Amino acid sequence: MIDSLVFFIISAVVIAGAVGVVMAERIFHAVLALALALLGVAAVFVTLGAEFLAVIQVLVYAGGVVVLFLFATMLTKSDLQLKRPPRGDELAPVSAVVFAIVALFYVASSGFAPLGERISVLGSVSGVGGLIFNPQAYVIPFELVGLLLLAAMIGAIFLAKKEAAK
Amino acid sequence: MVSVENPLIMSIIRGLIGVVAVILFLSLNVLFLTWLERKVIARIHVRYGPNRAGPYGLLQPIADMIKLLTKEDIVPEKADKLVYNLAPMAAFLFALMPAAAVGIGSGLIAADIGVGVLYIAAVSSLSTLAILMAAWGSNNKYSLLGGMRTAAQSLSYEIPLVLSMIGIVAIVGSLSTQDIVAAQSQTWFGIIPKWFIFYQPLAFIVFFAAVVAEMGRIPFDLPESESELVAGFHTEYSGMKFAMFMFAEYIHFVVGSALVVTLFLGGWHLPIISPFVENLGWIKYLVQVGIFVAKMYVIIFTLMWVRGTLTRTKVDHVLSFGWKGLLPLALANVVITGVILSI
Repeated sequence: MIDSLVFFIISAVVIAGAVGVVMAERIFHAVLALALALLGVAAVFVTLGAEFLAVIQVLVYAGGVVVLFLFATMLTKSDLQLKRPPRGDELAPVSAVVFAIVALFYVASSGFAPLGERISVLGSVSGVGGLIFNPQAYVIPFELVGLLLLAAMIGAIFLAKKEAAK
Repeated sequence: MVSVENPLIMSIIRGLIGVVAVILFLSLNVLFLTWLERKVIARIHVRYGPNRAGPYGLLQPIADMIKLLTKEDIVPEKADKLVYNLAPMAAFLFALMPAAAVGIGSGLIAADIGVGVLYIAAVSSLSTLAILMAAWGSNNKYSLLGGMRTAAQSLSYEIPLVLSMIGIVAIVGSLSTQDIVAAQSQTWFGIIPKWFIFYQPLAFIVFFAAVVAEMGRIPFDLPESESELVAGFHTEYSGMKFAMFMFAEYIHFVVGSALVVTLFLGGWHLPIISPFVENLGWIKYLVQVGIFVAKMYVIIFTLMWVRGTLTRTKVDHVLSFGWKGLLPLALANVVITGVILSI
């Protein structure tokens, strides 16, 4: 009982954050709402026993990506009244309803399969490490992702250099 | 004594005791630190420092607290009210969070989480968020500049900070702070302690520099460099909200120093004395806390000494030192440790 109560409270926070991202008038508020939603997801991971995943969620998303977003926001016009353009608002409720129906359909068809054994693997550092570096499991996708990130990084440096040369 | 069988109530009570103990420990240290810092800096500057309130000015922190509590709370007219008012609370909360996973004695820890040091690194990166909120919410150019510097600085130094811990984690085989301290309890010939500062000297240098940068202290106190930015991100804050920022800053100071002690200086272990008190019941815990706090204050004093001696570095120097100096060193340390461990 208490578990589902905690889950519903956290879910309410995540949904409030997500709605805030879409509805906030000011960009800065939207990014802060995003941070709230991401932290809420980390809390969901904790209640599932996936501590490692929760910590990585905080480190990468709340501590890294959101800070980068805020940093970029500060480089824009230093005006608190920076408002969203009014276009496209009429489509928002439609897409929200469509997405909700798709999500509900997916949840209903999967029927909340219990995580069981898998969570103890995903929850610990050694479990995740073992999966990533196991040739039978995910070593090739992991290396490919590393290559992709390297390519993105080199691309970013190349673009920045080109700008600086001019 | 009421016997409580319900495990849920028990865990809630245990959690509450942990929270109260952490806040009490930090508050007492912070109050003492505000006095100590002014006194130490004053001595380095050949001044007296606070000496009016109480013996040696020891009651100065309490006088300061009363002053800050009764001050007028000013909110700038053009500020983003919501963000402006939330920022001090966020700063305080995010400063408290990492303290939960730092133990001051064997078992004397609020939450012995399996991913301990990684948790500490993750939640301390959140305090950047609070500073950015303050910077943006104030709607002031000096605050904004301070906030931008904070973001750049903390993003740059977080990476060497985490990388420099990897060597220790690889040696211990665990991320828990309790396990890391336990791994440092042995000695060579009974005198020389097997602390990680001797196993990982390179990592110690990188970690120490990175942790000072994350705390935002001189020589890395660019976010609030008073000679160019008034007071940086907290320029517009006064009264209780300003006090919360100061409190958060000193909590970072305490927790950062405690982390250096935990990871590199053997935590609550000291050769000769530690084995001596092993079987003395509660005295053992008292001695452990005493040793830990003493070591912590060695680090704190060193940092105050640095503050009294060095000057502030330029912002581009700070960033290039992080990326071109600390990061390669931290990576080299990871490689060397990995090679040695796998031989």
